[in-house]
Amino acid sequence: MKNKSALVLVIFAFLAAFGSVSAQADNGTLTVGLSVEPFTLDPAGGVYIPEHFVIQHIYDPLIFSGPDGELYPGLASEWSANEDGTEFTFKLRGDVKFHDGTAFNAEAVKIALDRAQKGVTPSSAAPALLTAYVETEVVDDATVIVKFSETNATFLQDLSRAWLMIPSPAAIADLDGGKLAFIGTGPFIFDSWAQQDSITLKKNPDYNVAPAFMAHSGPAYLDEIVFRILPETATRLIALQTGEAQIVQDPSPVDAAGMVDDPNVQIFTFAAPGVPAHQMINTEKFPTDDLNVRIAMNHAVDQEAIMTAASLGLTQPAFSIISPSTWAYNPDADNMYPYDLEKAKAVLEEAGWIDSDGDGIREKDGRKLTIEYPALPAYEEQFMELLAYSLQDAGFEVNLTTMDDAGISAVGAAGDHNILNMGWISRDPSVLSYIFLSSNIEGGSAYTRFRDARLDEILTEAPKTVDPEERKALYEEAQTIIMENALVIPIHTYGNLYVADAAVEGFMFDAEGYPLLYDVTFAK
Amino acid sequence: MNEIKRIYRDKPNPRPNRARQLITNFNFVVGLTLLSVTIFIAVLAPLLATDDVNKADPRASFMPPSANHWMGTDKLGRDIWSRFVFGGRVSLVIGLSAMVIGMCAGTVMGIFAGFYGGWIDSAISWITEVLMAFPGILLALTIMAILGPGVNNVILAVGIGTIPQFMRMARSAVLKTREMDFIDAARTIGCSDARILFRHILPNIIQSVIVLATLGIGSAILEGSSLSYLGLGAQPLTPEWGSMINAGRTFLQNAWWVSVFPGLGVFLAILSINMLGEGLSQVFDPVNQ
Repeated sequence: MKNKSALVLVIFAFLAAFGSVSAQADNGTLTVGLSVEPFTLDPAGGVYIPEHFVIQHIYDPLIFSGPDGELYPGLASEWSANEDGTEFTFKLRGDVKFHDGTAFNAEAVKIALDRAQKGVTPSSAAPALLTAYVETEVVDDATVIVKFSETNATFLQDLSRAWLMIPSPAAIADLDGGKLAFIGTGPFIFDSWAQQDSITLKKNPDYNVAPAFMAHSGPAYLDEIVFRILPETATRLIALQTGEAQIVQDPSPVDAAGMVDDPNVQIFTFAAPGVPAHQMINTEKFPTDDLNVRIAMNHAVDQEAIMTAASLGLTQPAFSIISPSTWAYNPDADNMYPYDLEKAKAVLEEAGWIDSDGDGIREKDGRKLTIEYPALPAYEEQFMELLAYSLQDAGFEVNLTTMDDAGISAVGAAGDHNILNMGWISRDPSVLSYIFLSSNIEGGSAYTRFRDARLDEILTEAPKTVDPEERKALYEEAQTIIMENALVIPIHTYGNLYVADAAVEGFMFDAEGYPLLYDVTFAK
Repeated sequence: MNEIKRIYRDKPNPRPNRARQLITNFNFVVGLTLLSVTIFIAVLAPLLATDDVNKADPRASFMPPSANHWMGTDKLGRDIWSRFVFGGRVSLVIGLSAMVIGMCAGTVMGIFAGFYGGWIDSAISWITEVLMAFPGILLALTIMAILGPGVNNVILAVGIGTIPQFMRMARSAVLKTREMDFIDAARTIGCSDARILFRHILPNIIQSVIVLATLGIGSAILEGSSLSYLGLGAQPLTPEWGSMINAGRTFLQNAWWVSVFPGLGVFLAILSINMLGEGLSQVFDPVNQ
């Protein structure tokens, strides 16, 4: 009898535990499993993905960037730039209040940008966005002019990043004093932070800044968001399976692939804009100094099949130097060399590369068709062997050597590679300058070592061009030059991976792949 | 009377029958058998392999062991049995070559140091003490960082790491031997230093050197595999037990066979060599007689 009542008690305890979990979900508490704990939630101090993710739910930007890459009004209702892109005038909203009740105004913008330009930690991302920043002029309470010493064509886009969002001026002294005074205007109010455990945000009932691309306006649907810090991949997944968390970040691709058919979970992937992971082909080293060899390499690689096998289909293959979600993407430069092994072989034969001794490796003038491939397993482990096999099938010999990043940098700087992995996440194609401007060959990352006057001209002029159409045309031409000269073998776009409970609705990525939880609700 | 009897009985046989002792030694026999199998597999790899080690077939990835693929397939759909037998070759070659390098260099350094003494001894002892100050794997990692990745460099790195033990053992053995009468006799009849070193001293210490080397091969294989596991040794396209274990590490839950079979290979190779070495030392080491 005693035993029986104990059993009943246990059952009740279970029911109570499970009951409270589902009750919580109904009340609108969303628990998110983060892989890395943020270092700070101060916009001017952040730099990492989890920081961006949390910051953009507490603060608002002057301008939002929609998932479509277009700009939407945020704290600024209108904006304009002068002719040479050095001065930007913003009309500010007058009906927005910070979480502490103080009014958002021009002074707050000036204080925020002045502070962001200095940065508050050595690794802050904000200062790099404001290198040519001169000052913010407060014209009146609802108007500011932001001034730069040189053209800043990407400033309006940059404003949408978490690092330039606007904190309450009243909280700055506390922030600088190391207090957790994270006060913004965003859809959620910072509530508490238990170190190495969780960060809790509560709904802002007065929220009225939601951008037009959101599904609703006014306050967020969720009452509370709890960001749990769960550094172990396996722990995060268990948290999802037990209902402890409803969204988790970065599952292992194998686990994620195993859940694709699970009706209880949904998988969100985001193909990041910018330069996809690709192999930069050295145009100065034998045998890749021969354009035909570079074209044949491109024809020999089946990105689709490689990525299906390597990432179990969760990472998208790439076929150009700019991924399709990037601004100024040029579809004409995409997939210029579709996979065709026979064509690859034919191009090599025609160019005089013949396997005369029957060892499976082609030669020309007594020199073997050998590719030096230094690889960094941290980034390339999933595809490097398949890439090598693809090239071997066309008659290349591939010397695949794994190295650490120091080794890769040394080989790349010396130009001892034939192919070398590279990639760069960015909404704007301006990053092409870092990896293709010939002045970056020595001491930079221009590992194709390609020298072309027109490409250099474009990559120098475009970042200074303010007119979007003109700028777009320049970058489209750059993509064509790069792909026509077969300077790279595109491999895959970068992706963000989140796994969520099937009941989560309204999950959305912003233009750079950070999740937006403003629209999230639970299916009843 | 009793006491005298016992002393007589305990007196060791002046010329023990080593061969008989060996074939009746459990460790030696089992170790030799296992090692023979391992070497047999490695030598006959081209005949035993059922598939091309680098034939990738992504559609057949992570197949469990079956009649077609005796040890299953890995992430890229390569046949693990074929990679296992060829991988054993690489792993054994690394272990054996490293040990030969360490043994030759260490022994030569040791007999020079012990025979000549003085500043030669001080210099060589100082070098080995510096080497011994680092844990073996750290020393190997440092050497790999200087030389760069690759199988040959792993052999060199592991080999250099084993020099000190051979040097020290050879040196102490020579110190003992060089004071013996037959060395004085050799010197008296006018033998050159080289002749004394290599014809008179070396044969007297070679037994203990070989026992030490046999015991060390196992750890050399393990160290070589560890470096490959870390991505410093055999490069991705070359099958090697250590790097094969690493390749399967993240899939252990879903595809245990990718890591377990090469792990079993390392285990068997080391176990057999250690048992063999243990058996040899039981028979040859004076302490055990």
